[in-house]
Amino acid sequence: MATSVHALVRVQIYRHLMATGRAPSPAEAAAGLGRETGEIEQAYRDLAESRVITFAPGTRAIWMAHPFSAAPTPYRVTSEGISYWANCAWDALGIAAMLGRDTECLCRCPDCEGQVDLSVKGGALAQDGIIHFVVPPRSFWENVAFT
Amino acid sequence: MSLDQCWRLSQEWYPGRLKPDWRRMNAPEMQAMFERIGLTGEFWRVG
Repeated sequence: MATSVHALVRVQIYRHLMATGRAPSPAEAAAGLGRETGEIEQAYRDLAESRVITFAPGTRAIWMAHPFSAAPTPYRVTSEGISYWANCAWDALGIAAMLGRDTECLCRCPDCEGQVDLSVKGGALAQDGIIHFVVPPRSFWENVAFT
Repeated sequence: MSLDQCWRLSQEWYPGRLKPDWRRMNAPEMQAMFERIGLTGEFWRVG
């Protein structure tokens, strides 16, 4: 069965994010796939509609492709000289899982403001600790920015 | 949850998005994943 354009675009978005730390514009994704930009713009709209990506408010630019954020957040992950932004502490580990290589992430606990090391080395966490989820999974998308 | 549980959750939740045939987990699959990781109770009930 042929791979759908939506699947190709999703994978292209993630590959671009992983290679550069930046979300691709539709034109960049189109160039990477050898497709027309208009077709990719439609695919972006469809992927946003199905919550695979989230647009920045009032734009058609990618804001979130979980676990990645295209906008700066308190959760900066670095790996092999590339910087990434995670949407939350969980997503900092999600980026490590997607990259499949060592990552570094030092952030502040939003509760006690102590430093938290979310780095992953050799597939293992740098420290132990607790993550507090405020929103239950069944409600993640009611306000994904808050989640 | 513990950071270790969160790391296990990340490994189950995210890397599949790089595969062309990825699809979002349905509710029973998600519930089973949470239970494998030891995330039980009303907060983690998805259905």
